[in-house]
Amino acid sequence: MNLLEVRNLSKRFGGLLAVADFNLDLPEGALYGLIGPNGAGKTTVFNLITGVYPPTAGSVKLAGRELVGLPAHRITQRGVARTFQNIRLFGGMTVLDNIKVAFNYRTGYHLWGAVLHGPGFNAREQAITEQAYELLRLFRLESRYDQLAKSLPYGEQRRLEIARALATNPRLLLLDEPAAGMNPREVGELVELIRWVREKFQLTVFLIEHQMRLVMNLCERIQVMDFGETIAEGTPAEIVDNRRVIEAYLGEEEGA
Amino acid sequence: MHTIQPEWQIMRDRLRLGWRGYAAAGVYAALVILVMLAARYQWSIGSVELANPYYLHNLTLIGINVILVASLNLVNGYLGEFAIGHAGFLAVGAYASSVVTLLFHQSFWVALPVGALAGAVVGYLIALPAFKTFGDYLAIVTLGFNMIIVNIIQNLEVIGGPRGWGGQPKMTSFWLVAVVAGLSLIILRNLVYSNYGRVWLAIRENEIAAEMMGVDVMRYKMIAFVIAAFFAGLAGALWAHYQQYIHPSSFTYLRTTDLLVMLYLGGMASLSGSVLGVTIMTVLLESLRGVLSQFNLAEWRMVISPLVLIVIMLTRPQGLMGNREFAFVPRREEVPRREPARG
Repeated sequence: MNLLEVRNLSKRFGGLLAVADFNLDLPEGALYGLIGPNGAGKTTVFNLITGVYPPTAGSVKLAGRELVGLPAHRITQRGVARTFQNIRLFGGMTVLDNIKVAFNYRTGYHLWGAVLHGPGFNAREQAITEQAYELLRLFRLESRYDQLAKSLPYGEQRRLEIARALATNPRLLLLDEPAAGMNPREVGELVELIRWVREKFQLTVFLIEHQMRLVMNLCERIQVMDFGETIAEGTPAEIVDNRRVIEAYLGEEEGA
Repeated sequence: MHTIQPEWQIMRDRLRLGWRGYAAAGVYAALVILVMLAARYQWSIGSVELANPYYLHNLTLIGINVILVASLNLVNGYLGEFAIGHAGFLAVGAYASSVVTLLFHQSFWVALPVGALAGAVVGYLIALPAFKTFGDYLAIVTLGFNMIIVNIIQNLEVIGGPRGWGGQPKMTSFWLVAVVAGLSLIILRNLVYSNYGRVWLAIRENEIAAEMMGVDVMRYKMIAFVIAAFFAGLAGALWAHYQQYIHPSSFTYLRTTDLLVMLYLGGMASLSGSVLGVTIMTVLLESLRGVLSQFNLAEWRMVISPLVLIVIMLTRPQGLMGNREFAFVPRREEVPRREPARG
């Protein structure tokens, strides 16, 4: 059973075809990767799946239900969570509040409850705080709970962003260059973290990455994009030998 | 894993005020009662009257402005938008409540909620188109709304038109304003320390990330705006039945600017800052009135508030209390009481 099915997804920005006929079958529990040179349209694919932009054409189905046409927050509520290439935390809020925002559409109280701070309100807030704190503990961030998110070191900001995405209780996690700006040791830890997260939360993961070491280590299958088009698809071993992929990354051989 | 909480702590958590909160509420109530008694029995120290009508008048204005500035803080401070039409909602509340008391001859106690609700309804109608935009555009839309409201009032003879409208019953007293302002602050504080306040801050910090957390950004913006307009309408109803005379010129963008100066002085996203900002500006302007007129410089008073704004922006752009509260407002976080985590 495929969790995510993308069919002929396209996006045109004026004269630029940013994504052309993107197709993807992501089985439940899979961990796939999306690679390609800068400007290939990888992040645009993420933005189309999560509803940041409406696609020009095509369909995206999560567990058989169409996502295209839904506003972005509804797509999140259906179970798609993501992180960003350039970290987008709520910098001026505390680490714990960053996580608690993710509970906004299932707080279990309405405006009156918030105005009155009644018993039901406090029970729900306490429950949310405990769940958020538990998540921080799993990501070894609990000692930072009352610090502002922008004051965390880079690696912890990345971890917090993943934790925050998981707080929306997703089925599908999209990671946009999670290893950007990390040193080799941190990348090694990240690989372990992603494996562990997927196991622990029983997630399907689709990630964009530049660092080949991470992709080759982690992903079961890889899709390669260049200038908006999918140029290859296969296991990591197949991809490293693929001629078009090598050309896209290294340029064509002179006179070949 | 959980340690058992003693009963008083559970009670405290339920009210979420803490002993400092009770202390603050107590001090506030005591002050109000003291002022009332001082006014009633004309207490004085030597020849100085403790609560002469002039002081009471200024305290009443402070109370009304606290409602206005604290509610404006929801939109401009917590939500991080720049709306500059707050005086428009003040006008809506003032005129709508006066319509109830003067045209329909109903009680002030009907007019007060009607003024607030009228503010909220107009706020909703403005928010619908306004939040299609943001940033500078939102400022222009709300400013335009403020001007439109003033123009409409000037052209409606039935509510006095350009001559203003008087004769409202004097129903607003210092104690009523004190109670309403206190309740308003409690309600706003409760909202800020709930999912709503959290989401507003998240939208301020990063709108796209908030949307990706499942936040219906448009809806939460509307809620903040409508609540702010509700309280501005409430303040308008109080004001109309305090001054017993309202005039379109008191609701122009100049009034909004006064509120903005108080807001920025006190600090964005801080309710105690709003109270502080209002108090300082009111006391400052009033005390300057006496001092300056001695030197025949009375008109220079109007230079002071823009000057204050410039000095704040240059030296302390976050305002006196930006993003912080006095200690009696409890911390945002209440972390679960549990054993130190291992592994």
